[in-house]
Amino acid sequence: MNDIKIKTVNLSKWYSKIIGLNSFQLDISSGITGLVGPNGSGKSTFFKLAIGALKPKTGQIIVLGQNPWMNQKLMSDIGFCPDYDSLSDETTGKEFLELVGGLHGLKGINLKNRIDETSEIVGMKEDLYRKIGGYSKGMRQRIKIAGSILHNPKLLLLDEPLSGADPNVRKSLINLIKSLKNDLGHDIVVSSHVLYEIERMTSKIALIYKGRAIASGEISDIRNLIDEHPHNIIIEGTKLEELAKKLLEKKYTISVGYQENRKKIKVQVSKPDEFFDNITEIITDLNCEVTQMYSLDDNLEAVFNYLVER
Amino acid sequence: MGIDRIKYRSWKGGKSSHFRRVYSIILNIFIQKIKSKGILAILIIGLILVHAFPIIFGALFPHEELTPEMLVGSSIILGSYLKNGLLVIFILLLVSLVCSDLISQDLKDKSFVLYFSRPIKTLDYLIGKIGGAIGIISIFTFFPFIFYCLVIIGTQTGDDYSGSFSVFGKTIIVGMLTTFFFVSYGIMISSLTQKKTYAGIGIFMSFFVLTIVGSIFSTFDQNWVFISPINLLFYSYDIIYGIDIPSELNSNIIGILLFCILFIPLVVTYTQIYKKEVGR
Repeated sequence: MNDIKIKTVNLSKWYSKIIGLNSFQLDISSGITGLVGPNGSGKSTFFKLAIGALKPKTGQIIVLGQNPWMNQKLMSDIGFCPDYDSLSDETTGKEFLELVGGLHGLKGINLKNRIDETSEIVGMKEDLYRKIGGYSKGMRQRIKIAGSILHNPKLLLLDEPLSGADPNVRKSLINLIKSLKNDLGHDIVVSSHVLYEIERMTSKIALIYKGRAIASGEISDIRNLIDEHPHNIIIEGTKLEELAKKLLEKKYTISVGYQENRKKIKVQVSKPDEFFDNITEIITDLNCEVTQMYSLDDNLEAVFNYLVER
Repeated sequence: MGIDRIKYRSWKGGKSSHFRRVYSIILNIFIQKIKSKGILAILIIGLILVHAFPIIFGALFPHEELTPEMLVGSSIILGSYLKNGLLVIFILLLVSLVCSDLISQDLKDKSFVLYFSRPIKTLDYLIGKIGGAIGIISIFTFFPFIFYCLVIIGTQTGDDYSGSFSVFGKTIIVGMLTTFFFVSYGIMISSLTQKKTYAGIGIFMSFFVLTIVGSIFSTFDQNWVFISPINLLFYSYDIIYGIDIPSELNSNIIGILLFCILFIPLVVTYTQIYKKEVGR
């Protein structure tokens, strides 16, 4: 069934002189849909409009057949995982999930069972009684995702769920998101500024740039265009020299350079998909400790500029 | 990470229990606050210093019944139980700790989305926050008053229990007024800033500044004393207990200002939340 979950018609939102979305036209159907765009392109604004946290200036957004603005009832059918961290450090994971469940009207044994189930789904059962302040970035993302699926919503909105996570956590979060659709049947809209992350979750994407949906459809249609542009990735961690040497042996690596007193390396690759396929294995082989890995926006910005100009 | 499909059962429960949603916010606030070492310390020290002695001495001293004077009058040994500077200082410390981050932290962390991406209205959120704060503050500003009255009634030598219970009923109103008075004011200050430190200091200092302002201007007109929230509260006690206030003071002003200080902060807080995070 390919029914429309979110429909926007000439949707615009601006904050004084800053444009969030500009005549945004997009239909999102069931399954996993990826929203890809550089930072500031309007992805978070789109999500906020979809949960009714913002009111459109012009145009319309329809979510699950309803207008989300001031529609609290609709929120029972939506699970939202924001891009920013709004979790209290002093709260335990269990207390957070109890609050979220309570906000959805869950109580007693139902709530307890759902907390058990969702914490198991996101792989956080063992850490539920720890304070969130002691959680890693990946754990914080997992507990936020648990909070968004706790009430078994029809539609999941995940805003940059992979941001800031290390490669292993990214991989497991991607698997988790895929299983939320494949095993549990959630329809999911997930955003990222890294196309290759979205590609690992779904083939359906929408490209957002400067507040507009500039393309949507199958990822393969635009992938070749994007692959023509070198992709820049920053890696932070230990044994970077060995990692750089190893990466330079690969055909897809164009260059590797140090940054910030050799605390980071910037890798430029021609085939990002191959890089992302291999990097976990290389890190494991070298026994490196990678604390952070992320793609630079400027590359994606260049791609989007290229697409817009075409 | 795989998911065992057999173990997973989708939740089919109802999604419309309104009270439960507000209650979960109240409970969350209460648990968070009661776990705070600072709040717990203020509560314990305050209960011992401010409430324990009047309750113990009140029970030990021979008395025929519970009278308003025992609560708001000045005794030689302990001073006044309710009109007590130490009581006010501890309430202000407690309110500053409890209320300072109630809204300001959500403004700072953008955690409004935690609530408003759920089936929760702005008013539900506000009631939940206020309810949680009232739960904590009432441990110091409501239940000890009730306990004091019950101890005094339980140890009275006279037979006039109706008079005692009349005062007991008025004390319940005084306790509720005191709790709501401070929480309403505290939550408003918290909604005006993103920094809980500013909010905490703001709550504490604004009471003293207004008291000083009131004492300066009262040399021109006695009614200026009401600009001090503390004086306003103390004279409200007198009116509730049926004790005459000085003839140069206008009791209508007390009513108007009390209404303003109880409800205007709530309107301000609601407007702040709506303006900043909901109604954009």
